[in-house]
Amino acid sequence: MNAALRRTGSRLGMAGWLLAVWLLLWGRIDALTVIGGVIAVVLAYAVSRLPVVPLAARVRPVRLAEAALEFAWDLVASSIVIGWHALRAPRRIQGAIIEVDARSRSEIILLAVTTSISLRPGTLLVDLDWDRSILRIHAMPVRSPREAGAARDGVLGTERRLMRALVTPDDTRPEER
Amino acid sequence: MSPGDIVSAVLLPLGAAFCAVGALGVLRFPDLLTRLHAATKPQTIGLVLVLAGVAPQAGSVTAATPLLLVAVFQLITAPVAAQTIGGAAYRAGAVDPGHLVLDETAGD
Repeated sequence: MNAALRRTGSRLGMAGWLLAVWLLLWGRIDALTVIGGVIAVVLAYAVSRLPVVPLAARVRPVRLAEAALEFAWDLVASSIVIGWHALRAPRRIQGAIIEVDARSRSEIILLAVTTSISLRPGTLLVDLDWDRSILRIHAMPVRSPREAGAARDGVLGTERRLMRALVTPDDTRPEER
Repeated sequence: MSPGDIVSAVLLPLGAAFCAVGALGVLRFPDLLTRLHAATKPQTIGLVLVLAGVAPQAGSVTAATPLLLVAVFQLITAPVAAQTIGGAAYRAGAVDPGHLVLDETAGD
């Protein structure tokens, strides 16, 4: 897929999403809302020059559903852990700042990884080195270097799941194409 | 009591409990980064649960779909806020080393 085609695809995807938001806000689908929505999207693009959003070349739906389910589970489980610490011994909580070498060089994967680690209680992205794909993450509760390693494994596991779910041109090795 | 009412009766208090725990964490955790964890995330789950609890009461699908939109935007924007504040604090050196067992970036 060449760059121009990808850019057009990304624009169309974004336009589709904006149109969907418009229709959801109206709460009904008829000729008037659709035409009005198309006009609103075109105007929004003309005025704001929305940036090109990175897209995945291919999505594996089952893997994506797996990743989403594991994410939901992580979200609930670690919320309970953080809540427990907030109730029991908040003053003694310890954290760590860890560096994680991301394997992916794809923007969309890193975007999904950082969003999901920052959404989940217990890990928070504090810095990102784009050139070397290094994520600096604050993790808590972490009481020992071993637990810091577990937090790192969790982040890498999230990345692995997302890389399985979303196939991107940046990460595909030539023999896999 | 319809099944929808039971869903609401379970999810609304559960969501409220998550929000309350998040607020409690903001009050009780010791430094900025740990507070940020409590401020941005149990609250997100709490809101999603509250929205899921409200949905059966909306009466129609068209009335319930904006709730989905609220949840999506919450999930997209909450990490941005958390990363912005956390990143600013980290770069400004406002992270208290007393609450860290390990800082792999300390050598830089």
